[in-house]
Amino acid sequence: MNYRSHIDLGVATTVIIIGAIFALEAWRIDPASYEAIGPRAVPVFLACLMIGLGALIGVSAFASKDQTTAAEEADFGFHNSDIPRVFAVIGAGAVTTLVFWAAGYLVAMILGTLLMLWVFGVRAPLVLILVAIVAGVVYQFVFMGLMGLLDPRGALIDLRWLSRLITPGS
Amino acid sequence: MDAVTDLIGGFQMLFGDPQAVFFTLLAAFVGIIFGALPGLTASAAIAMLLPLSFYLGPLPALAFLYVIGKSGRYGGSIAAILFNTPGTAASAATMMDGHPMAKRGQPNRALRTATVASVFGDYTGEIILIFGAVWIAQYTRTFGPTEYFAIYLMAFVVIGSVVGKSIVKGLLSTILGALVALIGTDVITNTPRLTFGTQDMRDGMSLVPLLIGVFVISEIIIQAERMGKETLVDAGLADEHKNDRLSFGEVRRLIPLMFRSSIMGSFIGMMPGLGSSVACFVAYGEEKRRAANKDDWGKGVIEGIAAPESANNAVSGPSMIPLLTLGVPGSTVAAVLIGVFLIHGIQVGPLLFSDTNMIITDTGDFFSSRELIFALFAAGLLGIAAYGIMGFWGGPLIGKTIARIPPNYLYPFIFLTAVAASYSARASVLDVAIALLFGVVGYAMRRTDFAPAAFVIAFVLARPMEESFRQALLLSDDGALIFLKEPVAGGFLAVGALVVILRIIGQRRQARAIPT
Amino acid sequence: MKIFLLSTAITALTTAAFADYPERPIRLMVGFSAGGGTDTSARGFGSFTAEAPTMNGMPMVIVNQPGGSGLQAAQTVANADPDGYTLYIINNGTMSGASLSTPEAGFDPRESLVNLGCVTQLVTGLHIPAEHPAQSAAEWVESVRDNGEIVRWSTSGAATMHAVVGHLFMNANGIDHQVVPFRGGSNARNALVADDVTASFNGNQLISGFEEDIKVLGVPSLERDPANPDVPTFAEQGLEALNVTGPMCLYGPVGLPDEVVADVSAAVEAVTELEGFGRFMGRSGLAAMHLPPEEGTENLNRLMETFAPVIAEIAEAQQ
Repeated sequence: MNYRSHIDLGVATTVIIIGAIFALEAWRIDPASYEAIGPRAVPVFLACLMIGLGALIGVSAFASKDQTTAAEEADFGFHNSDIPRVFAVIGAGAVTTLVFWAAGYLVAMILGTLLMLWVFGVRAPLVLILVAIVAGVVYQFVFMGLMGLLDPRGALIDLRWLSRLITPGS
Repeated sequence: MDAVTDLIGGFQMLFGDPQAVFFTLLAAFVGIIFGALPGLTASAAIAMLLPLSFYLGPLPALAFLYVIGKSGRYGGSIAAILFNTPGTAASAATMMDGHPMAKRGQPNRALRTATVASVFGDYTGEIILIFGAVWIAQYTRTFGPTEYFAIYLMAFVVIGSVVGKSIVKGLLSTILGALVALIGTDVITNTPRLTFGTQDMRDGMSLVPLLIGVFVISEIIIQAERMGKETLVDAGLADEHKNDRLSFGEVRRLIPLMFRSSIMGSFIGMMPGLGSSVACFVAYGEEKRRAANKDDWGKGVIEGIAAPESANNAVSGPSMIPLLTLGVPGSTVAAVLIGVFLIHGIQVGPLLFSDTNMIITDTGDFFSSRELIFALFAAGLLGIAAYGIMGFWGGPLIGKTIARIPPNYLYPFIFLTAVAASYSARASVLDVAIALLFGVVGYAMRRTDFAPAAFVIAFVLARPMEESFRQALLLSDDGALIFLKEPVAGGFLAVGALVVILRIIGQRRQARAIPT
Repeated sequence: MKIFLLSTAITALTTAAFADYPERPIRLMVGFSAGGGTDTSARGFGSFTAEAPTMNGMPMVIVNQPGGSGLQAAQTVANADPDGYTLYIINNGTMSGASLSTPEAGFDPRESLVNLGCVTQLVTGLHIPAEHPAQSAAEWVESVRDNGEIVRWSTSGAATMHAVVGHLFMNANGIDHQVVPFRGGSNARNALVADDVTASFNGNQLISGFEEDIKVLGVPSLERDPANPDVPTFAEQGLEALNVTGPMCLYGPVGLPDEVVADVSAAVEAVTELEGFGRFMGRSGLAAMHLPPEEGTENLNRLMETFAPVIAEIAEAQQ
């Protein structure tokens, strides 16, 4: 089995799992309706189709003969990927979202900038801190101030007394 | 002619609104920059800048995003020619001749060919849009759920039949898009669907976070993993410029080719779901087949730049035809524009061309939606000229400047903007998490030959398709036969079937031509 | 002693804080995206509030939080500090429909929000194609009953105010009918323009520009709607009155200080009397109309009671 087939088996498994989750969730839809085709029919059909096509990928991964050239493989799969860095970006994104939920926008923006700069290789501490704070303040000012978006209360700590200082019109 | 008078009125309305003119010109510039940044597309730019447009009047908002769609496609050619990475998928074919030409010391010649061809294609497409849309809209006014379902089904079939490397994976991409679109409260029975038991998901997924995830966050991940492996741009250009200009005679010689490519691009653009990335390869292949100097193609001929560039920009105008005449978005740009229309209380569809359908703005101005559409066409025409002028004389400079932007600062700020933009659509932190999730999904899809663009367009089309299907059944006295009894609906279904048959025949022929 | 001092301090502070309410702009939440019908009306209202004498020249700034047909923003306001700087504007009909059709949200506006007066109203109309021979709702009812065919009608959603009125009307007049819900009123109207449905129950503001295609036969209010004074009520035509209209009202969280209630409701009344506001609403096909808080509250209570059985019936009809 070549690399592509290995990846495709993983793909098939993932697709079938996602399809199964959607199928279970679709089956839980209340089908009651005055229509001939109720609200459940289309989602169930799509989810089952997804499982079927996922299985097809799995089968053809076993059956496949290696025909692809190295050049075609370069962009396929993860063997050229810097996996730790990929997870660093996702992790920084997750932390930013979590802080956004817990402590509001301003803090999330400052922390998010800091983490992302770090992931992208900026290491000078002073630059990290200064750029992050300036970016946070500017994004707060523009989005919450000038554009008048809802400045949400953090679910764990309410820091709006701080963000209000740099938000015109609130 | 009616449309000409209306267009003159459109120019008057556009130039009577300095804000609209400003945002049209700004869009031409912003689009070129985003398009030229490796990896970022016009769709990404539009998704991130959409929140800004909430705070503009309807004309400046629409003109801004519409023109970004045009100049973004053009900007992609700069990245393709100078950096050998397509700024947008639409420019992938331009790389084949553009980069070799730049490499041998003629970057300006390549850039200028791309500019002239893009402008030519864009104008052709825009003119087809203006006259075509008005003409078609007369006939689509009486369309109801039955016809709409047939059109959506045709669109799905067309997308499904051209979904890139693997047909199965392309189909899976559309199915996933459709399932994600069905999350939320069903409009016909008020039943919550696929909400995983949560309240927050009852409103369904919104387009902006999804677009930002698939087109922006996934790109940030890809850029991050490339860091340290290679430099942002593979310039590799010769220091010395030789014969680095484009003569007027050469441009004149290119006109028939640009015209053919533009018409091809326009027709591809009209089909919902097909886009610039298809058009550029079709035009490149067709012109190469016709060319006398076939062997030089791929080594840097101006024809090889002009054909895909004319075709991919000619897509821009006609891809609005399904949107304006039917309310069916044919491209991701059109899908975002639907949102902008709705934000300003304007329902898209054939009634847009009615001159009694009045729109009022926050400031109390009001005008008919027909006037607004023609002013938008005028903005499109102005925007093409603007990016043409900026690109013709400023293209090389823009390219050089972009090569100097340090990516380790650029991408963190794109990330911040992506977070802010996904939040701003619905003031929802959950949407930020959703953007992140679809960023990961988009990244995985791109690494495993799935089709993120098909996923997005399926997301946009699936919900109205299911709704129109069920509404048509509610309106029918004899069940599903309604789709065959209505001549228009039957016609669209036949077109869909025809596309599938042609595609299968085409594949067989290909399989026979390349023995494996 | 300490407690006494503390409580006097707090009283002093709060009195000071509210002595000259409002001292900064008020955030007026809108539960829908920028640009929709509710948003346009709210922005119009917000821009005129600075002219009301009790507002100290402070405007109301619109903040959009779309979700759950407006319930998301309603909950945000209900949970906000009752300091008078976070208020809500929504149509009573919309809020009743939304809260009754999603009981899982556990939100009852009658318990969580305080009415501060209403500024305009949405009125449902019975819309039919302009070429139909019937000249009145009564004639139309007769013609479709004689015809014997099922009447298919479009409306703006499964359990919106317009849908509820449609069901009430059809049942009260004994018409055999089939509802076809659309996503939003404009889509429902377009289905009528395209002749796909026989009738439509929809907001009357949506027919402006479509007078050649659509005529309005009647409205379910007790008095004629000032925005469309030519359209008779159902009661005038000898049909059941129904008495359902959706006033657009301001709300605040429970526990607002009296001064805030007094100032805001006075401002609501003052704005509805401004000529500019009336003109602004006129362009959207609506009319300025004032209801004091008591009548707004009474309207919400009545709508909740009228809607509850109909929405339960709609849900049941699907079993």
